[in-house]
Parts: sequence; C-alpha cells; structure tokens
Amino acid sequence: MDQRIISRWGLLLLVSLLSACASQPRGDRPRVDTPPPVEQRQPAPEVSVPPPVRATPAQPRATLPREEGTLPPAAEQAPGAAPQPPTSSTPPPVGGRVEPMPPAARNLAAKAEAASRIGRHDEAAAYLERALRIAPRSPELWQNLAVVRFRQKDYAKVEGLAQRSNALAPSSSPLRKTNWELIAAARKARGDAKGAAEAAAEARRFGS
Amino acid sequence: MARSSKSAKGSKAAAKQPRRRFTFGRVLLGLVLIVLLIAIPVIGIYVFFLDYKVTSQFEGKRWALPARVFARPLELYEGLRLRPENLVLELKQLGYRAEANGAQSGTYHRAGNTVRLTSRAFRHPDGEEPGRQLEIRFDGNTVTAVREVGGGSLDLVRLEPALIGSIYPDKVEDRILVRLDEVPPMLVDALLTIEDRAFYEHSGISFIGLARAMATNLRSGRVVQGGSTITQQLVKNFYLSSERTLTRKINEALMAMLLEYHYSKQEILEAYLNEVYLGQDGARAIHGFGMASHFFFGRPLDELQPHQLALLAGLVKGPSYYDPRRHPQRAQERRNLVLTTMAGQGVISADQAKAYMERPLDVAPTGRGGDTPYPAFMELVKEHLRRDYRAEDLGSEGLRIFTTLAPSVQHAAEEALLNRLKQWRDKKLEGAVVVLDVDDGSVLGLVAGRDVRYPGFNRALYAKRQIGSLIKPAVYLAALERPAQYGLGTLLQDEPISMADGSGKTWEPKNYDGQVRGQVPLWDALARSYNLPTVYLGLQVGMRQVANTMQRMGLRPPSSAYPSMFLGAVNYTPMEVAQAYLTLASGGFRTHPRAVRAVMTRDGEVLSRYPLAVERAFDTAPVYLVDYALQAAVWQGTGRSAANWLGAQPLVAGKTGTTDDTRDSWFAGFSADVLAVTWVGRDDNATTGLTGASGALTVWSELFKNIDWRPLELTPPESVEALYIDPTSGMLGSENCQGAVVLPYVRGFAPALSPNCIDQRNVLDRASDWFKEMFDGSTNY
Repeated sequence: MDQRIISRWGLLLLVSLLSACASQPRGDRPRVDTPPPVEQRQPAPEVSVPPPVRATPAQPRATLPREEGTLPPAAEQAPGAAPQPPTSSTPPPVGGRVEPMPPAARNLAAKAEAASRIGRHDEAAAYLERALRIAPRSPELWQNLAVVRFRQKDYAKVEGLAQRSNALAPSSSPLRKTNWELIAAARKARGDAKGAAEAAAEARRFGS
Repeated sequence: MARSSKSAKGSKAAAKQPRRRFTFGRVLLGLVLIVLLIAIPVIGIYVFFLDYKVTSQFEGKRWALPARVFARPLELYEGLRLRPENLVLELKQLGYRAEANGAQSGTYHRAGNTVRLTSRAFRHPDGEEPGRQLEIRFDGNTVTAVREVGGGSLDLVRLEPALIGSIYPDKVEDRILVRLDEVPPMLVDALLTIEDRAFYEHSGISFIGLARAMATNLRSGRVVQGGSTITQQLVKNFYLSSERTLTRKINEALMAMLLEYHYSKQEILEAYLNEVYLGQDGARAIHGFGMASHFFFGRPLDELQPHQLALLAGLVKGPSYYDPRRHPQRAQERRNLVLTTMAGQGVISADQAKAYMERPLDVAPTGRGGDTPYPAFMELVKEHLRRDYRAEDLGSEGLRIFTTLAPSVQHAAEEALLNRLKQWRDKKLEGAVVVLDVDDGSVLGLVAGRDVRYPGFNRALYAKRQIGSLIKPAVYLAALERPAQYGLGTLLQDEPISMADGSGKTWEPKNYDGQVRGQVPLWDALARSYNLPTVYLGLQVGMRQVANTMQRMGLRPPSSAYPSMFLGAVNYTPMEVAQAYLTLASGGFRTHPRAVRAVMTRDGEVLSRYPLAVERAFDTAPVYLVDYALQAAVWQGTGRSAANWLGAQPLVAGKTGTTDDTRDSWFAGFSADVLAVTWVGRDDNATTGLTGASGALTVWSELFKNIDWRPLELTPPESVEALYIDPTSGMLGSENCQGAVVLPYVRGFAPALSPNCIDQRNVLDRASDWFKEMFDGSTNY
C-alpha cells in the first residue's frame, strides 16, 4: 500500500517536473493543478516523456541560466581570463559561469529523451553519460540523468546526480527546484520521510 | 575388415579342390554373408556415427572466443580539446596507415591543422557508427570543425575503439571470426591456388590432387605436398587428433566426404578460414585469417593489400617454419611462390605478381590484439569483471568489453614516467601513475611500474605507501567546513611542538625547511605545505574530525587516529589517493573510479552497464576554498616547478607529498577535467633523494604537458564571496588597508574587522561596491 502511494506520488511529482521543466516559455506552461488520471504503475504518456530539458537545437534552453539573467555578465565576458594568483593584491574571480551546451551533447540528450520515452532507460542513461563527457558542467544533463534514474526506480543514484546538477546550476535557476523535488521523491521512495520533507522544503524555497 | 580379406585369399587357394569346392564354397559364402551381415551394419553404424559427429559438431561449432577488451572510443566534435598529434596517436593505436589522402578505410593524412581520415564502421553498445571519410580541423589544441568529406559538417563522430587486449581461457586459441563475404577474394584465390586447386570440383577428397602430390613427393624424395583438400584439412583440425595412422586417414576421407555431402562449398570454406592455424604468440595460438591479419599486420583483413594476403595464404603450410617475424626470408620466398603460382594459373597477371613480389613483407613489429600491452589496466578491468562474470564465460563467449582507457593519455603517462625514471638513473626506482576523468571517475590511464608491458606487481593498485603531505588537504578541509572558525586568511601557529606519540616516544615534527615563522595564513600553510601549522590546525579541529573527513573523501579510515596522521603517516595506494582527490576535483562529490563502461555479447546485446554514480560528500564552498589553496600550491607553493613544463600559473591545482628521508615522492593534481596521481619510490622502501616536487611532480607535469585538458578556472560557487583580508591579523581588511589580500570566503562568514584597518571608512560598503563593479565587468580586478 505504501508502495502504491509512493508510486502515485512519484508520478504526480513527475507531472510537475514536466511542467516545471518543459521548454515552453513560461506563458504556456502546462497546467499542473489538474493531473491526468493516472493508473496504478502505468505511467501516463505525458509523464513518461520528460527529461526536463528539451534538446532540440533550435531551443535556446541549453543556455537557460543566461537567459534568465541569473549570471553576472562580467563572468561571461572573460571566459578565457585566468583567475589571478592569490597574491597580496589580487582577488579571485567570482561568479558562476555555465557554458552553453555544444550541439553534440544536445543531440545526445535528445536521443536520451527519445529512448527514455519508450522505457529504454539504460540506453537513455548511456546517451546522457556520453553527453556528460562532452559537457560535464551542464546542470541540465546531470538533472536529466537523475530523472532517468528516478524513472528506473534506481533511487539510490538520484540524489547524488541531482545534487551535482544543483552544484552547477545558478541559485535562481528553476533547475534547482526540480532537483530538490527529485531528491525529495527519491528519499521518500527509499523510506526517508524526514529527509524527503527537508528536501521538499528546499524545493518550496524556490516558489511554486 | 582385415579378417574378411584374408578369407577371400583363402577361397582362391581352395578353388583347386573341386570335391570340396561346393561345400567349401557354401561355407565361404556363408562366412562372407555373415561377415557382411555383421560388417555392413557395423560400417553403416560407424558411418552414421561419423555423420552425426560431422554434422552435430559442424552446426554446433562454437569456437571458444576470448573476450575482447576495447579502449574508450574517441569522440570528435567542435570544441573538443585535442591536439592533432594526439589524434594521430589515437589513429596509430587503431592501426591506421598514413596515406596520401586518407580515403581508404583505416588510413589518415595530416596536413598542418587538418587531418583527413576514413574511419571504420563499428557496433558500439549504444548503436552502430558508420565508417566515414572525415576531415577534422584544429586550431591549436582545439577541434574547430568536423565534417564528412563530400558532405556537410557533423556534430559528433565516434571513432572505433582500439582493441587493447583479450581475456583468454587456459587453453588459448585465439581467433576473430570472419564471414566469407568479408574476406577479400584475393585471399581465397591465393589459398585455393596454393592449397586446393580443385576445391570447387572435388567431393571432399581429390584423387588428382593426391596423385599430383605423390608425384611431386616422389620426384623430390620427401613429403613436400600434402595432397589433402581444404575439406580434409578442416576435418583434421575440427575432429581428429594429429596422429598419422591409416585409420585416421580413412576417417578423414570419410568425414570429408560426409561434410561435402551435407554442406555447401561456401560453408566449408568459411569454416576453414576461421579454423586454420596460422601462428603462435607465446601461449596464444593464432587461428583463422581474421586474427592472423591483426596479429601480423595490425589491421582488419579487408584492409590488407594483395601481397599481404598472399603471405597469409602461404602461411597455412607451415606457420612456424614461415613465421614472417622470425624467418622473414623464408616467409618472403613462400609468399613469392604463392604469387608465382597464382600468375602461372592465370589468377593474377604476371605483371601484378611481379609488382607484389617487389613489396616488402609489411608485417607490424609486434603482434597486436594479444594479451594486452596494458597489463596494469587490464588487471583493473579483470578485477572489475570478476564481480559479475565467471572466468569461463570471459574466456569463451566472445564478450565485448568496453573500458574507459584513453590510449593517448595512457601513452603520455607511460612516456612521462619512463622519461623521468631515465633521468634519475636509479634502476631500482619505480613509479606509478593513475589518471582519472574528474567528472565521471573513468580511469583514463594506469601505469604500475617501469616495466609497463610486464604484468608484474601493480603498484598503482596495490602498493600501500605513506602519503605524506598529500593528506594535508583533508586537515584543511575539515577546518574550512567550519567557516565560523576558519577561513583561508586565518592565522595558524607556526611554532615548535613536542608531544607524546602513541608508543610513548616524543614526537617533534618540523617544517621541511626547518624554519618557524610564528604565524602563517591558512592558505599559505597549505600551499607551502608547512608541517607545524598543519599539526596545530589538526589538533584544534580534532583527530576524529580529520579522520571523518578523510573517510568522506573516499579513503579507508585509519585504524587508529594519532597526530602524525596530520602529516600523512598513513598508507594508501595511488588509486586510493586518486579517488580521494577526485572528491576535491569534482567540487565535493565522491565518485567511484571505473574502468569498465559496458559488456556486450558478440551479437550486440548489452549484458551489463556500469553506470556513473556520484555522492555528495562535502558542501561546494569548503572544497572550493581547498582547491583555491591547492592552485596557490602550484602557482607559488611547493608545486611551482610545474611551470617548467606548463608555463607560469597553469590552470591546475595540486599537492606534493614527500615522506621521511624521501622514501616516497608523490604528486596529486588536477585540471577541470583530468586528475592524475603520480608516485615515485623504491619497492624496498629505500630513500630516493626525491621530494614530491623533484620526483613525482615532474612526472605529473610532463604528463600534463602532453595530454589535452580543460583549464581549472575555479569560478567560485555562489556561496563564496571575495573579501579583503588583512594578512597581519587574518581579519577583515579593505581595499585601502595596507597589504590587504583578497581571499574567497564562505558567504556570511566574514571575520571581524581588523583593528589595523579600522580607520578605513565604510569598508563594507566599499567591498560591496567593488563586488558590483566586478559583476558589471568594469573592473578587471
């Protein structure tokens, strides 16, 4: 019974992930408040789709954090600039920088999405790992991998991957909210109710 | 049988006695009938038995195929950090040949910043990659364009992975199966010309061939030609022992005919091409032309040239006698005989034969695809696989094992260690190198000693050595995890200390240079690897806390905690050290090193994948602060001689380690994407005279000079802010405060304002102004 609740809960979460992470502009987000009827253990079609980042080349989603203006432009202007040595007069560089995802990685993420959609999660994960070797600093890719593991019910791996995504995503990025939701769901699925509540609280800090 | 023929002779003798003829004849007839009655079913059953043997074994013939172990495939895309030299290195590892335009499969051509090549098709665990003619452009050490010749630009291309070894069962027959339609017709022509001209006409045994062989043998007075058909040779190899008896010869003939009755010429030929013995590589027997091609020429069969194919066909007669590596003269004569015979039979023209005969043997110097050129890495792979696979399956099922080894990195690691060892001239000096991918823990290279091709003691995996100062980051990390108490600018005591160690003796650590400085900033103490401040810091933080930090970094917990632990009186292997530093390099995530990515069956079914798994072990901020100090270690501290290889202020971070009396020399360092741990020392634990800087660091630097890596830009996480710190007090300073330095601090944990700077007005406001300016890009600090 408990298991059922978890899986239904997980599906609802994924529905919300879908909406939170779909690449549509904010204006036409899918509505979250009316989840489609969900059969036991049968992912609804929409639910099984969503690596949170659409990887079609036309979408500027890969550079999302920049779009949303969370990054200090200064950090972007001098991508090659070496940090100065910590000598007496020079401060260290400050400000996170998220590199745009190269097309090679984006295409692999798209393949992963397609594979995951038809339940081939291992294959999807393999594509994402390849993509990560090309763009290891992409918070989107780490999150996608966390989502795939979640769908596989490989909950033990979810948290680490989502945390890795968090460590790379700027603090105001919606990716962080999703990551905390994933962590909460994975903890819950592993029977860590307290940890799940904490993670859910973290997620709520990002608003709804 | 023999008995019945004797009876037949007896009947002729009996014919002279008419009286008894009738009765004797009847008896004889009866006897013959009885014999026949017995013999026919017996022969019938025997033939039936042979038939069963031939068909069941031929159809069920599963050669025991060793597991093939592959390196990681090189992926090419715009923006990839790779210098053309390293691409060429990878191509050579794949057996590519430099040729005018690189238009043939397995060839390449480099002209300055452009490399043209034709890749081979390959079935990867996640799909088929076609063979393509490609053009790769470079700018410095970056790929700027990947395009298909005659086509458009490509986002991503994956080369086939290099075969780096095989895993064998005890009895070693090695082969790569080929299909008949993959075999160059020239090879089949050469083979049939020299071994069995009537192959397509005979029905298993060839009397013409036999007669010809006998005539030849009689003429020369010895056995020069076997007269066996290809079918007979196959039967002999498949089903029979090598003894030379009449019974065996009869069996061979019978079975050859049965084989021909059941199977087409194509099937028999294909089986032969895969079965035939063609060479020996130590304990490994080379069977079939697929493997022979790799073994002798280092490339697949379909890429061989006619003169090479003729050599292979010639080898059938005596793989040992005509071994092209040991007896090149004989091999050349044999090859030329094949070519002459082919011309004589009109299979090729005389001109062609002449041209081919002028070619050298073109044999690769050492056998490829054998056990492995990387025994140290292979040991890790086997250890990895032992958990999930039985040794029998690894040795017989032809599994395909996809590993993480990066051949160009491995090559650079071997070269770096060997070059440096050569400089030091101590023949007993040994070393080890572990190279990991920072983000996913892939083992990119592994060197276990100076004899890199010899599978001896694997120092990288099993040599537990004192790690000396390599431990220090754990002490500092334990402190920096308490931002309310410690920051990079915190002043640490640098004074003599004396205390009782666990065994009741007095422990009096010293700084390496013997000096004491009173007080030193925390970051400087780590960067310059001062011992005394580290001991004071460790004692303040607590041994338990430091031990806990070590464990979270991924190290085995020390069996007991004692103060000399702060200076690295603990033993770990290079691989263990690498794993712990991986946690620092990845911003606080523990990642398991992995050597295997996936295992696939011969038919392309993925049996297991070894997925990427990471675990958060530390907050980003304290790890960032440690990394910052470790970059200072390379720029100004104990690792500064890296500049001799990498230029001033290379964008890497790292730590030297030296143990008592220079018994162990260590360096652990990383860029944004590659981490390497190097160790130099002697197996007998004698002193080497090498410090971390003069020994292991030089190996590390030489390695990093020759591989391609992304700079460690150390962009602070958002939880870190830059502060002016007054170095005399370790407290908050300001821009105008005399001698103030800027150091990263955990946000919200600025130390109190320094009394030395108290007269500066609005210090905090100014600091935040400066911050804003930086974000606007108007100040280039």
